[in-house]
Amino acid sequence: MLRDITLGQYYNTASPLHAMDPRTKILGVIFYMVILFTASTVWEYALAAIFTVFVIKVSRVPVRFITRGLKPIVIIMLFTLVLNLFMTSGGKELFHWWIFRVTDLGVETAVKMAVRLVMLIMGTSLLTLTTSPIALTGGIERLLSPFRKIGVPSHEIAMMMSIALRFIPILMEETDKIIKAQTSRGADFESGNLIQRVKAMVPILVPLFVGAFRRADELAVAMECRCYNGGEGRTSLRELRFRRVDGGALCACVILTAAMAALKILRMVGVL
Amino acid sequence: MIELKNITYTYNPGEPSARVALNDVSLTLADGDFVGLIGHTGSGKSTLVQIIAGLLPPLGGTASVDGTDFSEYKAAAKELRKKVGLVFQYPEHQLFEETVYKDIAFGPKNQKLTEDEIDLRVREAARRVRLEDGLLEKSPFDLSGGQKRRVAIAGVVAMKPEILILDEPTAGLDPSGRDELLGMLKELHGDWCKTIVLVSHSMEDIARAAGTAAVMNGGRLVMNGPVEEIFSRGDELRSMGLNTPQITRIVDGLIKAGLPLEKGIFTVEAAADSIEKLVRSKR
Ligand SMILES: Nc1ncnc2c1ncn2[C@@H]1O[C@H](COP(=O)(O)OP(=O)(O)OP(=O)(O)O)[C@@H](O)[C@H]1O
Ligand SMILES: [Mg+2]
Repeated sequence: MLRDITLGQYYNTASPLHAMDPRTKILGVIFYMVILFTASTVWEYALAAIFTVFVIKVSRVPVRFITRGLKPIVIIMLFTLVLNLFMTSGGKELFHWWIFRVTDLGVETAVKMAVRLVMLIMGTSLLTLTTSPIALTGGIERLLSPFRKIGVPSHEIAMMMSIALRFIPILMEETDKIIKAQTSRGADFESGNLIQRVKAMVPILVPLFVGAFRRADELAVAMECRCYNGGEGRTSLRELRFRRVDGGALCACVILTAAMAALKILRMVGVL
Repeated sequence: MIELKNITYTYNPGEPSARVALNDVSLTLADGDFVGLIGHTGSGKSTLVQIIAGLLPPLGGTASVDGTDFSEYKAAAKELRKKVGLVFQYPEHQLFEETVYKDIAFGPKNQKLTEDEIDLRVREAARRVRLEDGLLEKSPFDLSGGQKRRVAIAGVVAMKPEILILDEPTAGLDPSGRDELLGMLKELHGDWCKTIVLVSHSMEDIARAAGTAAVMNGGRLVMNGPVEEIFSRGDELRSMGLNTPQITRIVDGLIKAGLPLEKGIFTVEAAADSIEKLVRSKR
């Protein structure tokens, strides 16, 4: 179960997508979301799907790593699917039983919603799969830095995120170790009723929290020892470089988004 | 008795971060053994002991417990967990109860022993790891690092496992804490636990406590035999980034310098005896 969490999981390989500036990829994901949420006709969906497949191919990340991120949200997906299927009113009736009515419009909406969700998860997990946590937070920091003037603590936000991301694998490893240690002491996490099972979590959770606080404490001390005092005047070891390929990729995203928007506007004014 | 045959294990198989941790390891733990498991960092010691303790399903290989062969590790794991108590590296990080007493009692309670039996076990375990009685009602989080370590070890010892495995229990202890711990293990051996496996980086620890030694290198078990035999193969050990105990190196140096000392000395006491004998014979 712990292994299914794709968040913050970096797939280390060499690909054009890995080599891109993290800022490009973050902006790209934002554009991608806009595209997904403006898409409404089959053709627009097909365009978005082609784009998704293309980017996945370019990333050289095996597909099973990308689909792994879908597992935790299967329930949510089924829920929206069912909800849309039965709750959509209008359209031609396909099927009627008791209070359940399925219309062709309902089927269409449900399928579109599901496809949209799948693409959303796959596209966004691609960001963390192709961008190391350090690069990712570096990118966020730079993108947020213009907002410093209005009081957004961009450096602190980025630092907090990078620490949190760094701690995910450490805490997962720690959890694994604690579970094993308590199993070796005869702890049983699998049987019993709900209350017993919740109680069985105590021997895992207490050491986990104690450990997390200990680590946080140690990290704070270590950072202070190295004279860390926030973002003021801090430079980066690895400067972000916006290269031609980044410009190209961003242009492609803008054009695609603009095309989608244009299609939508044309449809609204009734030309299409 | 536990027999492992051709055990293999890979972390993150099929991913770019895949890492072979065990490669065709076969090991037998007979009743009465005191095995020192040695190996360079990352040689697979912790992985191997987790498999022995029934906590980590290997990718390949078979296990047999007390002569019963198990075709599936899952079935063997149940037996293994019953028989083997594993003290993890830095076990003090797993304490969770309000009092030391309750924490030590966690294992015996899970074994479904009676209240009286649990009480007996807790007190005996605490005595054996040399925890003062006064500490039993304290919170484990208020103790010193060394005391916490003892509580954690007592938590496993109290379950009276046939086979007790300790993964680097001496890491981070001072010399006297180290000596005390090794003495404690020697006392437990044979009397409380039939078999003990001590994972360590320290040749001195192994020389002091263990009867046989198993040496891991790069995921393989490369040597296995009596401690004397293993330590007589100094050059091989050095090629694996390990070494013989310090005192053995000193004695070897003295022999090279022309002193007629005995070969195969690996404790300070034995060296002292040998030198004393030499001095007496010279008089
Ligand atoms: N949870 C894990 N995920 C991925 N790789 C791991 C994991 N645990 C161990 N490894 C790798 O498996 C190999 C063997 O590790 P193991 O912990 O068994 O070594 P060890 O002999 O106990 O080392 P040490 O003396 O440092 O404790 C190492 O190369 C290590 O990097
Ligand atoms: Mg280890």
